[in-house]
Amino acid sequence: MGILYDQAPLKDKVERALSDDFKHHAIETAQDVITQKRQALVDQVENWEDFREKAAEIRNHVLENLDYYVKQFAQNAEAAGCTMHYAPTAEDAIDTILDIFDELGETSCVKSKSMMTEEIGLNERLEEHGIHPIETDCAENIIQTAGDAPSHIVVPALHFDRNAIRDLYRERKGYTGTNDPEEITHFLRTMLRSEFMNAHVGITGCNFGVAETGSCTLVSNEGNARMASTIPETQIIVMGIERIVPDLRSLDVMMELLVRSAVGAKITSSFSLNTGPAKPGEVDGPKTVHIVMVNNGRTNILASKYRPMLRCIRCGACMNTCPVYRHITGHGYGSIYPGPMGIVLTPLLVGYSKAEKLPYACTLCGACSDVCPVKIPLHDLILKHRIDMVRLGYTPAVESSLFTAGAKVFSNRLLYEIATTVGAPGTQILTGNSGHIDSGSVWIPVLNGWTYSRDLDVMKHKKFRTQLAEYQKQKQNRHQDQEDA
Amino acid sequence: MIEERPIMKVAFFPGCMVDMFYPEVGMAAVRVLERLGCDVVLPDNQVCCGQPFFNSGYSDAAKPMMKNVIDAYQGYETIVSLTGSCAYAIKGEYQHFLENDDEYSRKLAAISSRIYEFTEFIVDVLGMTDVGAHLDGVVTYHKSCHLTRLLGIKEQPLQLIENIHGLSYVEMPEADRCCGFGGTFSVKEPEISSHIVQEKVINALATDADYLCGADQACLMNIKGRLDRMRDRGEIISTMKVVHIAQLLDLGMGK
Amino acid sequence: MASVRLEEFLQPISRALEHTHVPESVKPYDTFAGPQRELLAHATQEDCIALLKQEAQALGTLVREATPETTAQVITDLVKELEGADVVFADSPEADRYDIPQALAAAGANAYRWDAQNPQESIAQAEKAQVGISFAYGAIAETATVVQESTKNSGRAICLLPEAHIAVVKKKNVVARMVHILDQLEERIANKEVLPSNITFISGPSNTADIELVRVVGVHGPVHAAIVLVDE
Repeated sequence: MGILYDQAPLKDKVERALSDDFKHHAIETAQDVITQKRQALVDQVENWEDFREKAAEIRNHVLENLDYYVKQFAQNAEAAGCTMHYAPTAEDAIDTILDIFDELGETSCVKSKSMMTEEIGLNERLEEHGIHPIETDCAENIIQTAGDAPSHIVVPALHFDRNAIRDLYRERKGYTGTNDPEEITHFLRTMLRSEFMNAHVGITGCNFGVAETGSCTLVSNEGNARMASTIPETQIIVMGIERIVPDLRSLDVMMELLVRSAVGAKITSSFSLNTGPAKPGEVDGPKTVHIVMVNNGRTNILASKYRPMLRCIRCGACMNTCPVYRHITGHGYGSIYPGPMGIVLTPLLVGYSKAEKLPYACTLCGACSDVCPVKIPLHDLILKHRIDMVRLGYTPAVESSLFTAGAKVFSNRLLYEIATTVGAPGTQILTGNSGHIDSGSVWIPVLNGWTYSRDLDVMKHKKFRTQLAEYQKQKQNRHQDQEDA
Repeated sequence: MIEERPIMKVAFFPGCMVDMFYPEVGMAAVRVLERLGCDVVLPDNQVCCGQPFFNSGYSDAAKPMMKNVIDAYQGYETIVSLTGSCAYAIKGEYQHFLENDDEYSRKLAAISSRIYEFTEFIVDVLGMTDVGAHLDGVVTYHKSCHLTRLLGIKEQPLQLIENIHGLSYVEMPEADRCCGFGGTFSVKEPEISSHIVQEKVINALATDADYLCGADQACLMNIKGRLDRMRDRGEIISTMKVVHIAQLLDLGMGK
Repeated sequence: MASVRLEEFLQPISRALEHTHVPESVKPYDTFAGPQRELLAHATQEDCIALLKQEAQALGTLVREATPETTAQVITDLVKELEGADVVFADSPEADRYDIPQALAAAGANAYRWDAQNPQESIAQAEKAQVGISFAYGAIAETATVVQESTKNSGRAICLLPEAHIAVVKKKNVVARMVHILDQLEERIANKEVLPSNITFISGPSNTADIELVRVVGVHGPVHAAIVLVDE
């Protein structure tokens, strides 16, 4: 699938998302539930802002020294017994993983949730080569079984309701139970347990790589990430180069922020710190651990003004608070990375021509930057994208000339006076009996965007400047009269 | 008239929405400021702050607008903006676009710290929270994004509202969530914008307030536009009025 | 081309940072100090135990207190409560010191001692068992977390495959926050100790909210979790 799963024009994606009432409502509810839980916990942490500051500092420190830390991480992971692979591109990462499967002669694997594997489009490519990856996270399994796209980075299947999920498993997996989430979940437990017990390869992501020890951590509630790193003899960890923290101590700050921000809980049911393969004599745990470090365009981001985006810890708090995501859902963006972080990241990974108008799907309200646990100035970066898009010519020529002409008018008092004085009677003509411009004006292209859903008050004959001048003149006259009397 | 304090000269920044569409809001603000002992002037060459342009990505085109504003307000001791959004644009955003322009960076620095948003000015500079306004009824308040989040002006508008005699304040659900205006976003992505503003209107109506007030006229225009449309279509029955906080403070003041 | 050599992989990173080569060292950054030291800074051992109990309750984790003498009894009671006919337990010195195998046998449970010499059987027994018993390295009060290391004698499966997991923790090893455990690990590394292949921070039963955000307990890991605090 890769990063973009829907390349329809933004307008079409948005229209589709908005017309799906269930999906729309499900995301509204999810936002409300998660943000309330998050806020309640954040309010309990009196020095939450200090945590954010510290986390941003830690992430910045790593990014500023990323060559050093990638090297340190890689050497320590290797010393701990991991087999290291370095993939400059997504394609290289795929080839590396395919080679591992070839060597093992394996044709299936269990997978726990990993955005990095989605970014490189791993599942599709494995299938093409006759290797069947089994997604074991409940939500990911629902999406995989349905052949659908994720609508959120943390809870990707919220756009399915319990009936749809029941029907899906009835149709495809022989489920015979009800629509009760507990019953469905326990069905998945049983179904996937046998997959785990028979698996020889487990693929996982990595939330944080610890440079000092070469450890990889996994944060999970369902326990599937632990299963994938306990039963199979071979574990393949796919991680972006920016996942690194300097040392074990840093994990406290990151976890304090990550879990509260992501799911509104203090901690997940498990947080594993894995260092190398199982030690000799250990019964379980992988005998072989492959770590595939992926660049895939990250060094371009590192070199750019968008570097702060690499601090991202994939918590999803920005989309949980975003007023636009709330309505268009993840599918409105058409990217595996939706919401504010997706608007920043997607164009950096796929380029402006493919990302299309994504940076304009934002009101620049700044709510995302306020909740970001690593203080990424998301709305500022979105604005930077718009500026770069204009400079590089990715906006329509008509719009560009309109704005350029408009800027001339609005930077000159006289031109502004002329233009707005001419404009005022025009808007007055358009009013009906209501006194404001209603939906009767949607035939006028410039106005349409506004008036198709909102009334517009008319421009006044006498602008504020004129009224103020008259008022001040009258006052002066009165003053004069009083003095004369 | 006896003045208790020396008259303070303030250079006023009304914002384009007020200038073109809602001059009555600007006039209300002027009356309030005058009653509080200010002499309000509108610099001759003041036009738009340029935010709709640079927020759409046209930062190069917007530079002459920024320079025009900076020039227009040079030399004024105190500048009062009736909109938090434009105040943030000048105080918070200009510097990023002008960082390679020494002359205008300097000129910007000279005025930046002297710019106050209207409610911030009254509460923090004039030290007033009760301006003597009077209005019977219930009011709710939209916490607009740039004012609340980016300028951090959260308490001042509420302090002023709570001290209006006869008026009681009810917070609406998600009061600080964006109204969906977003400058040119409202016309570039009207489908999304209208869903967001629809929810804002519904949240405001849930308070049963007589008045929905705010401190940024652009947001208010957006919310009022949707409210009017919903009324026109008979989707809602409500007499809620959308007003700028300056209009509330102007009512019954000094009586 | 698939994988490249590390040196080659590092080049674009160095270039992006305008480094001519990968530096030998970096300007030190203090990861020790920070807000993580301020929370629960003055919590006493008693406070920690109280907090752990409170947080455990919120997670649905059972907490029992015991002395070395009563541990076996407390555990067999828990096993009964959790309806454990088949039990797998870690082959740790504590198991014998507390007389756990005998107590379980006496209570009629089919108890299996994790056996590094018998890997397949160990996994099969863990898969079959209703209850797994492990001896934790420590616990964290703030989140009612038990910290479990995997070793030859205490496999990962013990606290993962059975429906219920009982973690036995010495009270003196309960710390306030995660950072205090991490400090201990840092100290161990500084003393040239090799880290275990796996350390899992376990907080309550496995759970999900993937279907309509309804919380369901018991997904791929344990459905029930219990902590036995031993005053030793």
